[in-house]
This record gives sequence, C-alpha cells and structure tokens, in this order.
Amino acid sequence: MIQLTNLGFEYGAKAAVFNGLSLTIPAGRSVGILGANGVGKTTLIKLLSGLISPTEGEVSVLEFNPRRRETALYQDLYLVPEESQLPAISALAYIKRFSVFYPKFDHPQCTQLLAKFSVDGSKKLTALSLGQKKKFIIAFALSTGARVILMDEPTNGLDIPSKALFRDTVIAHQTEEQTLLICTHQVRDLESIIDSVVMMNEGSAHWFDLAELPNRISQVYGPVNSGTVLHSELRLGSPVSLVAGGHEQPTDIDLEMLFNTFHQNYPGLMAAVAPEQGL
Amino acid sequence: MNPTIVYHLILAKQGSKPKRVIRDIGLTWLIATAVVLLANIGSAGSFDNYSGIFGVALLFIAQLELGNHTFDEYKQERSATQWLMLPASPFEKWLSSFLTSFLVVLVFLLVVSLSTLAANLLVSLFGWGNLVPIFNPFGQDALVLLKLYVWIHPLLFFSAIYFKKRPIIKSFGALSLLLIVWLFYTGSLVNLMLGDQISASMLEFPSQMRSAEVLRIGNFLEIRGEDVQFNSTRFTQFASTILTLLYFGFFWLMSFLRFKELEL
Repeated sequence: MIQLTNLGFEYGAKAAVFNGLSLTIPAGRSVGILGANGVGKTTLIKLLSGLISPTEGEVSVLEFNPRRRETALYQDLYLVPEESQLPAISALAYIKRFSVFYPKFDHPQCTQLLAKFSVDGSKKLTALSLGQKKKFIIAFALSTGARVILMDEPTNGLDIPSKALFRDTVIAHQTEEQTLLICTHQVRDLESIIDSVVMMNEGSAHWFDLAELPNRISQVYGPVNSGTVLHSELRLGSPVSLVAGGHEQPTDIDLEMLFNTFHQNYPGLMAAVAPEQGL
Repeated sequence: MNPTIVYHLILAKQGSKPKRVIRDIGLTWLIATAVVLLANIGSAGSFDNYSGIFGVALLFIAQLELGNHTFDEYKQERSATQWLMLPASPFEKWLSSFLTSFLVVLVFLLVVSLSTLAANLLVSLFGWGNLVPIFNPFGQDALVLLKLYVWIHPLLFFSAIYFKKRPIIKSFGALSLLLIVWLFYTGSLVNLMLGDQISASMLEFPSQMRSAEVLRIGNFLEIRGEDVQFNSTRFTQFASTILTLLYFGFFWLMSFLRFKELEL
C-alpha cells in the first residue's frame, strides 16, 4: 500500500511542485499516473523511491518511509526510470551481478522475458538501442519479485509492436500482490493494463478506481438530455460528454476524456466522484 | 550490516566497469615500469630507493582512483538511481566503496612489484646496466607507501563524495584554504598562549644565539643556534593522538553522512 499524507515538495524556496498532496493507493493494483507537464509526476516517483525527501508531509510505501532507503523496502520496490545508464557489460552478466540483491528474483522468468522481448543476453547493454535497453530493464524489474514496481514513461523509445508486447507482458506477469505504478504522457499506451488512475494537477491528486467510476459518472455520445455535464468535446463532429451520475448500462470511460475533465472542471468532477469528501 | 551484501556490492561495482579496471592496472604497470627503468638508467644502475618514486606514483593513483572513481556511480542521475535503490543499506553501500578504495592500494603494490620484474626483464634483454631490486609488496617500502595512502585517504575519500565534479582540484583548493586558515589560527593561538613566555625568553638573547645556547618554550620545544628540537611529552603524544583520531574520524564520518544525504 502507498500512502501520501499532506505531501509537499519544492525545488528551492519559490518553486513549489505540489503542496498538501494526500493519496492512498491500495495494494495489488495497476495504476497509471497522469498529469500535464510540470505537475510533478517524476518528482512523485522520486519521492516514492526515496531518491528525494519531501519538504513537508509523509510518504509511506509498504509501511516504510522510502527516504530511509532500507534494504527490506528496496527488495520489494523497483524503479524503471525514464532513462538509465547501464554498465558496459552483457545483459547476462548484469543479471548475474545484480539479481543477487533480490531474494525473490525469478531467473527462468527473466530468461523467458528477454527471449520474448528479443533482447540478446550476450550483447553489451551499452550497445543496445534505447528500446532494447528499456525492454531489458522491464524484464529485469518484473523478475525481481518486487511488490511495488514504479515505471517512469516505460513506453518511451518502444516501437508500436513493442508497446503491444509491453502491455501483454505486464498483464501476463503481474501477480495479485504486485502493485504497478506507471507514469506516462501517453494515455493510450496504458488503457488496457491499468485498473485505476492517479490524476495530478497543480496542487492536487486523486486516485480513481476505473471499475468503480462508471457508477459515479458516465460517458455519453451525442446530445445530453439529463444530468450535469462535467465536460464535453467534439469528436469527429459529434459531441462526447462526461456526465455526473451513473448509467443503467455503464460505459467505458475514455482516459483522455477523464483527464481533460480533471483539468478543466476539477471541482465538478470531484463533486461527482467523491461527494463524501465535500468537494 | 550484512557482509555478503557488501561483498556483492564490491563485485557489482568492479564488475560493472571491467574495462576501466583492466585499463587502469595496465597503465599503472606500464608507467611504473618506465619510471623504474628511467630511474635505473639515470642513477647508472645503482638505483634502490622505491619509496620516493612510487610514493609520487601512489599519490597520483590515489587522486585518480579515490578522487574520480570512488563514488562515480552515484554522481550521475541516470546511474545513481539504480545504485541508490539497490537493496542494501546506506551503510553497506558506503562501506563497499570504503573497502574498494583500500583495494586500490593493494593492487597498486602488486602492480609496481610486477613492474620491477618487467623492468629487470627489459634491463636483461637490452643490457641497460645493473638489475634493479625487486619491489617486495609486503616489505618495509610497501609499508611506507601504505601509510602514505592511509594518511591521504580520509581527505580524498570525503572529497570524492562531497564534490560532484573535479573533486581533485576542489579538494586541493579547499585543503590550501584550510591550511592557510589553520596557520593563521595556530599563529594567533601560540601568540596568545605562549607570547609572553617567548618574549621573555627572547630578552635573554639580545643578539644572535650562539650554538651552545638553548631557548626553551614550554617543555616540548627547544630552539638552538643550529636547530629546533621538538620533545615528545605525554601531553604532545596525547594531543597528536586526539588530532589523528579527529582527522580520520571527521572525514570518514562526514563522507558517510554526506553519502546518506545524497539526493537526486
């Protein structure tokens, strides 16, 4: 479980990234972290990883304070960074050297994933393309057996078939107790693999359970006859709206639509999805 | 603290840059061989003092390895993320770097020993005078070099983690500044504590000191016409032990605290 309590972070005295951020993410979920540029998605990932300290508030990951950088936490927390500098050794040598730190590391699974991703284990990591490196780190991350895996823009650098392969692999290998947090700009890459989403804007963040959401809001194609319209936009000349209230036949809610509503009508959306919070 | 994790961290660090390790060892071996040969030819085959030339070489290697490479995996964000998040405690990570930094001097002693063997081989092959003595990596000369390394270690080790870029230049700049401040501080402290005593003693010597005359300051310093003698007393022994402990403790502890506070 991940819990943020009144979290604040600022780079220097006048460059606050966010303030008073509170959030709870249950265990065993696939969570997408969505937000516009500069709202602090990568900062949030760094805070969850213990790479930086919050300027106020608390972060708790699996009941640990990540900034203490304890061995037990890092055996269960793995970060796939947006860009990483891998050593000039082969993939197999890397696995041999670094897998020893993860007691639950699954070697057969790692070998299987590398084969699936077509990563040549004997090739030096520095000689791999950006996409290949990304696939290698994803394979390594999934094999560590970590209970929380953070991914910062995992599909950057992947070609279209690799993106599909990434989605299939994540779905196939995520265990019930494993929580995935995927931070991305590319909403479409995530739609099939996440079951919940954290949306961030300047100063606030909210966790939405995508299975629960259709009970609170509905996506309506065409003119809206009843209910409060939270957001509406034209798609191929026809209006598509997000409306407060459930629908008899719940529809899939477009993540892009939800994202735009979150940005343009935050109070209205929160009043519809979390009326108990008084927003 | 888990020694197995520390061992794996050392292996992971060294195993991550196999080329650099081999290149550095090879270069040290080549340069040391060339230096031994030049020193042997320069002294017309009577060269036998390794402490001097290898001492300079050791200082150079210490700066290069300690200053530039000790914590280099933590200095760039792209690699630091991976290393900081390895499942090991901050102390284990720091200790692995600390121990690795001492491996450098052991490898250096073995390499320079091999360089004297290589130099002898070349001397024999090309007839360049007398053979040079083989450097014993466990002998007295090696112990002198080891002591030299241990003395400069705390300062360079701390500067390696404290300064992200150009640690060698910055550490020497900071050291020079510290020395200047320390000299002024010591000067004024001596003046404050012993100024009256020195002035009174100096009055006894209105002209230049003769060789038989002695000016005593406290019971630990004797200034003669020909030399200055520092007498070891229990107080000075105690003070030097405390200063030594403070020097090592301060820089090693500060390096750990700095490492613990490292953020990206």
